[in-house]
Amino acid sequence: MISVFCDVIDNYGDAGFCLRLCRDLCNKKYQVRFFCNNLNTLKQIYTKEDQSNHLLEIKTWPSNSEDFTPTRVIIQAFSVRLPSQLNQKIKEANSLVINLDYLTAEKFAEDCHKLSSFADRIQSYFFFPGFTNKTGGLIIENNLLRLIKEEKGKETSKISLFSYENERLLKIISLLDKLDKEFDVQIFEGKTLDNFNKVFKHNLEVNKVLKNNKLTYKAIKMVNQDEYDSILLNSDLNLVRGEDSIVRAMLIGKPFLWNIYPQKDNYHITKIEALFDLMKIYCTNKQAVEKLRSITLFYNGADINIDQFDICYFWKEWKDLSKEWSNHLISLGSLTDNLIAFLKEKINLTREISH
Amino acid sequence: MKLAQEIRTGNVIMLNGNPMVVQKAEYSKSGRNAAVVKMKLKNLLSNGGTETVFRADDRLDDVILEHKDCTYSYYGDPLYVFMDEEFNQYEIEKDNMGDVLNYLIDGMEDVCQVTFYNGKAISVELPITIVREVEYTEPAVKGDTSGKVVKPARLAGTGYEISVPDFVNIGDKIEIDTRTNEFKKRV
Repeated sequence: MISVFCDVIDNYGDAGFCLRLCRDLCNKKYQVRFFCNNLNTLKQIYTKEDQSNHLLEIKTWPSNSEDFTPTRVIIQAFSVRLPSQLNQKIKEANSLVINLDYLTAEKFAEDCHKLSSFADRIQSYFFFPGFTNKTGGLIIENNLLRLIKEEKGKETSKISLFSYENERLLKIISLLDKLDKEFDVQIFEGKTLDNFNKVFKHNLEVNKVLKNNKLTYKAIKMVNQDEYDSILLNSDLNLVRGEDSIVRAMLIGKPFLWNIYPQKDNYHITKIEALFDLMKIYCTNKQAVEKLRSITLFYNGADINIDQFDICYFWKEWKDLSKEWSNHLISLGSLTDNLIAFLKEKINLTREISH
Repeated sequence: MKLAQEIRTGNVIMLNGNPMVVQKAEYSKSGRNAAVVKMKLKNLLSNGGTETVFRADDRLDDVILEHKDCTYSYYGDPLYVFMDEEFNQYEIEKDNMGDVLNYLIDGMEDVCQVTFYNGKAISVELPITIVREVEYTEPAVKGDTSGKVVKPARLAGTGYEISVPDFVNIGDKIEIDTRTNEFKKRV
């Protein structure tokens, strides 16, 4: 059995990433105990199938060590630190502890991937998601692969919008309005809709529609993960935020624009630069990568001028670039498989944790 | 106890009962304002090397060691020799010199701190700030005195490159923070 510990700091990304991992481990017939310290957030994104999945047990974090029985494998998502009394039991049980860290395209992810650690008197291993075969890759479920295959190339005249508070949205939207096509923009309730209303000085409400030039805006309710993936698949362009959503948008192979999680000292800009440096290595149209870099940097607050950006010309390049990048990411294999392979290196996983 | 992010090259930490000298410590910001520190360590008992990663806020047992103020004397292949005020000489292996090599030049007068474990010199630390001469850097763009525009500069003696503001010129002496390798000011 595998335990996954998730500490929801804010928004949906923490729980979202962990839920996908747990679900995919279950798909591979492993029993999973998912400890999430914010079940209210989780309830907004999990599906009926998750609730009835007999291999998946969803629990809140144990309040004391008596409520906790360590499993053979403990995954500390985003390298979360567990309370000392739980650590003591984990140490006694000799569990294999994995620090599953944040996604980054920076070189250090490759350098630190699979290295051991020794903190809180417990040996553990770092495992980094990433964009190269020297990292753990990204979570790619078989079902997602099937859907991508079915949807690739289909055009829908839809744009999905999921963002943080971001005043640059105004300029991005006006750029999209220059495309020689009409689009329906689906805006998720919550921070995204609040930001949209603030930036455009509108008062759009869920299930209401607003038309302006070539773009028709519709505010929609927050959806579960499967529905979210479906919206991404059925959009021609996905404006996404955070870690979980950008991964899905990139895998899907449709044009994407990333509103990255803001960090202190603008460090998120370094993260964006690292991603596009990697894309430049793996994608053939380097100029298209640079164009996407510039609008992404602009969208995330960098001092960049996009007044002369030719969105109509870029649109075709954007589509091709997204497909090529998606193909590269899929070629790395799923993080879940890569993680299981690593666990098997460390213990006889098939015998010890399966059922 | 020290946080992993406070550990510097030359420190010794106890890891699972083994004294390990830190030969290299690289700090990287991961996500959500969290960070990791990758360390290259050498076991002082077995001489075995290992690489490991810590969360930046992991608490590590640092070993209290004897330190002496010394100045760099000479390089006697393959050891670097430092000397204290009483002219005692101490040899340090190249692998244990870490980032100090980036700034080590003949005739330097910087007072360094040599660290001892069981009487053996195991590492050396530079002062927090040092002054070095710029051997080469691209000419400054006229008018920019803001310090916001940076460029690489090669240091005299070692060839090590750091980022400096655009107004720095060849031959300038600059103050550097050895913990971060950052330019501090022109002197």
